[in-house]
Amino acid sequence: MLLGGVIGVIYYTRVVSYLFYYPYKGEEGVREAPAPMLVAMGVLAAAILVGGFAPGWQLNLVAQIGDLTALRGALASGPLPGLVADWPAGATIAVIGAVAVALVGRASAVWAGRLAVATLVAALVGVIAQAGRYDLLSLCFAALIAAVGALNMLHATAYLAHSHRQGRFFAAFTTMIAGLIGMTQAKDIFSFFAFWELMSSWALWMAICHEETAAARREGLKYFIFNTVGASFMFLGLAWIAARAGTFEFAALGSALSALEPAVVAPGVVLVFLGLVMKAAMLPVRIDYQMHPALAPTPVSGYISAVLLKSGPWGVLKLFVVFGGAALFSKLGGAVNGQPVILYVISIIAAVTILYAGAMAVIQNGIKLLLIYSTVCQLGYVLLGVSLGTTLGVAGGLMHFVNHMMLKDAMFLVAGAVMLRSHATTLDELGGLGRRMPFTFGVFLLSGLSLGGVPPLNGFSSKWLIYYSAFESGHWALAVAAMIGSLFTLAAVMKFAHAAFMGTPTAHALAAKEAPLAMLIPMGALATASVVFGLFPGLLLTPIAAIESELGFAPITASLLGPLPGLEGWSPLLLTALALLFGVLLLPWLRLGRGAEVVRSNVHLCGVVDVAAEEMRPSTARLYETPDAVLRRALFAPERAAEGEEA
Amino acid sequence: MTSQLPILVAALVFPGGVFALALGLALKGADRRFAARLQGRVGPPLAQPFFDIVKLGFKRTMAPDVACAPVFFGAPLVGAASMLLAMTLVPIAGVYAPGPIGGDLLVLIYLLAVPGVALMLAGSSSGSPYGAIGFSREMAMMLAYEGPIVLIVAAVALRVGLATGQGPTFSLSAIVAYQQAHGALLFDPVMWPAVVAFVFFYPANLGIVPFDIPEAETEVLEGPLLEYSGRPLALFKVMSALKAVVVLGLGVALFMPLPFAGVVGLVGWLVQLLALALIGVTAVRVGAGRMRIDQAFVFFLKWPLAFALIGVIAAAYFSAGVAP
Repeated sequence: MLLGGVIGVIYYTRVVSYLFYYPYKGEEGVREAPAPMLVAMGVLAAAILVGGFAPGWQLNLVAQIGDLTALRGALASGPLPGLVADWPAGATIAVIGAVAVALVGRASAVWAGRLAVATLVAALVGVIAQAGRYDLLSLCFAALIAAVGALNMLHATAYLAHSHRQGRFFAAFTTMIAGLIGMTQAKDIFSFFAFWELMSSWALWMAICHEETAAARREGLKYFIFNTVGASFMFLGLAWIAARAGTFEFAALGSALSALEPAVVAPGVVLVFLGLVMKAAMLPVRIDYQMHPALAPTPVSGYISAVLLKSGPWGVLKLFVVFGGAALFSKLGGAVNGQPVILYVISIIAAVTILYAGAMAVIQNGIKLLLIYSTVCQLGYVLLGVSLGTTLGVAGGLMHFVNHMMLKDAMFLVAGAVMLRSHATTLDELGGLGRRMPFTFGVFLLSGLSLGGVPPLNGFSSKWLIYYSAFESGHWALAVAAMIGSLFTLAAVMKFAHAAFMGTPTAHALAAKEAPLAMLIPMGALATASVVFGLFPGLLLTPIAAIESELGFAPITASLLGPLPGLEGWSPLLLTALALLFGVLLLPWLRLGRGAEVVRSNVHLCGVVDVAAEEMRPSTARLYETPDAVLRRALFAPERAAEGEEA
Repeated sequence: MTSQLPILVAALVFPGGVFALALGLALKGADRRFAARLQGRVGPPLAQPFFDIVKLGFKRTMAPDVACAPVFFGAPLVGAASMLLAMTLVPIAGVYAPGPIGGDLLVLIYLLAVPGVALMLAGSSSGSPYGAIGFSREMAMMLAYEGPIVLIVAAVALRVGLATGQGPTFSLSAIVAYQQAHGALLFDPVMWPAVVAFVFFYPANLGIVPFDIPEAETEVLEGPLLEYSGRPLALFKVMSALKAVVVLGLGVALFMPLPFAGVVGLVGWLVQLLALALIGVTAVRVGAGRMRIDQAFVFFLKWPLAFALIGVIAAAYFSAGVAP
């Protein structure tokens, strides 16, 4: 039945895709259908809407019939879920806003964009106003979802300023965010799954397919199918668990499950976690099928990378606790060194993914593909930390959760700015943009080096916690994999920085100018937040300690201005202060201030004058020639085409 | 004297700051003099690196017209500052034991990547094609040698941590203290594969022959450094002098700290460093020829990585139950 459902969804998605996302090729002069037909269709559509808004009517009917049947067959009647999803204010605001945005979008794209940003700010207020409805972990996640959403939407208004049907995109984007907010506050299995679907199915697909090109539709459908299959695993698992436990409420689930035989619970739990791990694009089989497509508009790519995919690690942590924590999981297949087997397997998958996706990022040539592979790699870190299940591991995972959100989103927004200003899609077309877009370059370099694990920046702090906790829990091999993966990230970032912003300028670069203000504001905000969290990790660690004690882990010791936790916890503030001190002491030596006599000259070319600068650039594809070739062989990736054959 | 120095003193005067700067340049002078003698030349005075820095201070600063100036001038600054910072993390057996607050071994090995990053940024931002090639080679070398050093560090941490009955320890002070009490890891057969891997690691990390491929003068005209002159170039020279002290100091701390303290400990440490610099750096760079980048990369994936891997596995599986 489920399989049929999946096939049906794919089928209808294709129909919708043909109706709305293909350029119209038929004959001119198609008019609206005649009134009687419209009435008939309207009634049916209204019935569907009523069924959706008030499922209680149908459900009561089904329940009565079910009870009758059960009575006749002398069967016990099973529980039925209350199919009314519980809508928090944040999600409600976002959905109503999305409808409004879609309507306004028909009149004015500019106002639709402004309304969308305002909607998300209002959703953030809605989340905070209802803080009591969420557990602390979910409250923090929901607030970040709305806040980062608002930043990305602001960026999107500039990114899509010259695009078509902007209102539709803004509305789909906002709906997706509504799904995420709703998911975080879900208190029962049905709400959780309903919002999960809202977040990861049609709204996401509409946002991805926005460009209406053949490639975007194909990739969008591919990702949609993948998501639907992942969600189906989860649906099966959740249905299994709910049926066995006899309850849909999260609050009652833990005790109900612990009363059951492990063998009865295990298949459901495994299926749910499989769905979650798939959502986080782990499982290094064919990552290119699991990753969100590079053809989506860049702000939404950034949002998927930075925020949406985090629902995987979030779900692992949340459901781990909901299902009864280590006590239950240790019963399912035992434990290795005190770590439940299911989590142990997830740790290993995460570590393998770090290496695989990290290496794949190094050999990419597309502006966004490189960042997307790097996202998968970084999600591996988050999942590795969380799945260790130790105090430090969960803290490190959650810290990287937030740090990666800011850093990777900033990098995607930079990529969006670069693509807007240069109209390039591969790194080969770029070069020397740094002089034209200094602010953008600065944000990229800061975020990139931080993500690449350069101490004492925030990306290193959280990775350090993850390495340390992996060693501490005896997984030295996983820790070593994580440490080497960090180098791959650095290599990918440096490749991007060199190819896009430095080196000999190309014609594309010389025509570019600094990004518009609507892009600079979100990029600047994210970079500033990274720096602040880097200097004061306590700002993250104090809430994380509270989250840990709420989830039933022993909390880390954290103070607002203090060092990182752990026996050898060091202070990023101290290290940064010392580094800045050295910088300030050495700066006068360079004599760069007022009246500096810096002579600008041509680069030295050994007297060669008859070769154009562009011809002297090593092509991006060839930049890491030897490592590139070795990695390709190791990853079974296709060999690079010979120079002349490259498209 | 093992008492912890105030962090500012440690950073600015001893063992970091002024002391490290003087030591780095003096080692460089000894290196040049010894290399000259090996090649049958008289060689420069021992203080020549100091003179060079002063001389560069009087030169005009030049920058290419296509350079991305903030990065071009920022790179040497960041590189030199990172190595001054790293000096505060390197212990001197019986003399200086850094506290945990400033960072541990994991922080140190990632700080050691910063000079490489600074050189890459330098070559890349200069806009010179030679700089771009230097960038490419620097990154390839980093990808090659970083795997072994991560494994070496894990091996030492596991060996010391498991022997003392705790988890892996990344406190360099604890690693040194353990060896002072139980004998240097250099004489521990379980650690020999890791020692061999380290012997391959440090010439690559320091960028000396046979692994000076990114800055090969005869091929890419010093690559990243080609466009530098005057004061920024002096900062790069300072950076590489400091880096030699950090890397050799790290090697001493990981494998052969002396069981002395006080003045004897300090003098012993200086002698160790000088011996390592002359035998391990000068003699090697005079006696060997340069490898090609593809040879070096594949070489590192074969031998040092294999030794480091054996080292870490040995440390993980033969360390349980070692008498503390």
